[in-house]
Amino acid sequence: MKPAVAAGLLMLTACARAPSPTPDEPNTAATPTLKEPPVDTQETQVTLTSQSSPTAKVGGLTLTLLDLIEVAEPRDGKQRRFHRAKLHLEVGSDSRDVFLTTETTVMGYTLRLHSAGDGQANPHAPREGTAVIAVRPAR
Amino acid sequence: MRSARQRPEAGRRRSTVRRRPAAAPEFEDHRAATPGPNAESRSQLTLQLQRTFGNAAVARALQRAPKAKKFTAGAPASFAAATERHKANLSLLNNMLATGKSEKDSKWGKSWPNACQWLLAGKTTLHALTETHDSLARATTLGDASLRAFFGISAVVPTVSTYDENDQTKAANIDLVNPSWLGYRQAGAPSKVVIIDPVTKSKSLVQETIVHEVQHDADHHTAGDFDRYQTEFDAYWIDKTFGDMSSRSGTADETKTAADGTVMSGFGNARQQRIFIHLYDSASYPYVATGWGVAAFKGKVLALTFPTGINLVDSVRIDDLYLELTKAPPDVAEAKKKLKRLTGHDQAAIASPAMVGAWRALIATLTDAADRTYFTTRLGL
Repeated sequence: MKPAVAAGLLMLTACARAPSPTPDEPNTAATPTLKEPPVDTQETQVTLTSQSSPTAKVGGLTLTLLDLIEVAEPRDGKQRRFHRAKLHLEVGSDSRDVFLTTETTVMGYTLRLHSAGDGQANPHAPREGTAVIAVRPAR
Repeated sequence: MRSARQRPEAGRRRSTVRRRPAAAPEFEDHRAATPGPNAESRSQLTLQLQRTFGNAAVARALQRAPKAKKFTAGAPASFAAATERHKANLSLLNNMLATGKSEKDSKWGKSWPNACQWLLAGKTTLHALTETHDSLARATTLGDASLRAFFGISAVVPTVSTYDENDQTKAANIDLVNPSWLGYRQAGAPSKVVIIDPVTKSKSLVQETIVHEVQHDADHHTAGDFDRYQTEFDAYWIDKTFGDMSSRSGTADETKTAADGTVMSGFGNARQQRIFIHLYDSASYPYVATGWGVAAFKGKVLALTFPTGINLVDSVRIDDLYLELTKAPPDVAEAKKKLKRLTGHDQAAIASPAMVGAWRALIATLTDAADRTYFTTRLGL
């Protein structure tokens, strides 16, 4: 291939790729109609409760809270405590279970455990775990 | 009959209340200095025996005494070894509860025997996890090679359970955890407190964890941000994690900062301030850091200078009474029966400044004036 042709192909490739919208850099100016819906371009928080409302949907991702624990781990002579959520994730026909303690990227999404805890609506109500998960498209 | 002066328990309680009326007897520091059955007291006992009977006789006696098998952390060498270790784990926790339920003198006061009674009553279930012989391969097969496979999650202490030795895809009774963890709590009905390989862990850390986690169930907290803060504050105070920090009014350091440099001023005492900073700095409680910037939340945090609540001593009897009185409608007849089962310590705790407010508010909800008078009088409110 001659250098001039190769350079031309490179330019064409570059030209062809530049306008394409991506989740990272949506081309808002040239092709506003191609812009991703807000739920797929920014962080969305969902609240999952272990029994009454364990499932939520964010864009194409369905999350189900399977389990939430508060862990005690010895560190520097004291015990630090943190939460770990076990989630079942579904995107289309793909599904998997993941553990989430801080942040993880899986199936095209970045999930962050924003906060977690438990409580009862009244002393005789079931004690439920609650996890607030922040979801955004992976970059 | 022995007088209060002859009964050290009653004497201590009274003098504590006189000294610091702002806190309940259970939350004082005086017990921390009490020597318990620790290594130091054992060595002192050995010395005393050596002086009395001679070194040789004591050495012979020690050699004859059966030695408990030592277990080290890590995957057992075989399925049989894992089974043996699991039995040791169950036995350790079971013995801990059996002796702990009537322990008179612990670092945690009555909260330790009460927490043992709470678990024995099944209000929260206790589980021992033991590493499987193939823990890494099994965890990898089950989807997370960064963790290890442990078994025992489906059976309550002291029930023996097992796992499928030959099929690593079978997840029944298997939990994937990090062996460095001491344990965890899973909220539910009932909640589970899980201790990971207790034979390889410090007994006092296991006790601390049990006292802490039982408190989360005993307080019947709701899911609101401040309630979640308060249950952690109370549990950290009661489990003595920061028991070395003073609880005396005026001991907080007005210049102390959190990890992000924020000045933490306005606290009433050093322990209150330290627990708050611990939670503020933790990534696990982001609502605490967020709440510090909200006047209403911050005001409640600063006002909570020591624990307050309905059951700060993990008492199963106080819980039974509370549950009768919070039924809709309250079962007053049954509550009167439960009231009679309270111990003297339970009653002192309820009447203490840390709990009396919650109990007065609860009794005020009873519609019958005679019932209100009955409980107010009997509980010393």
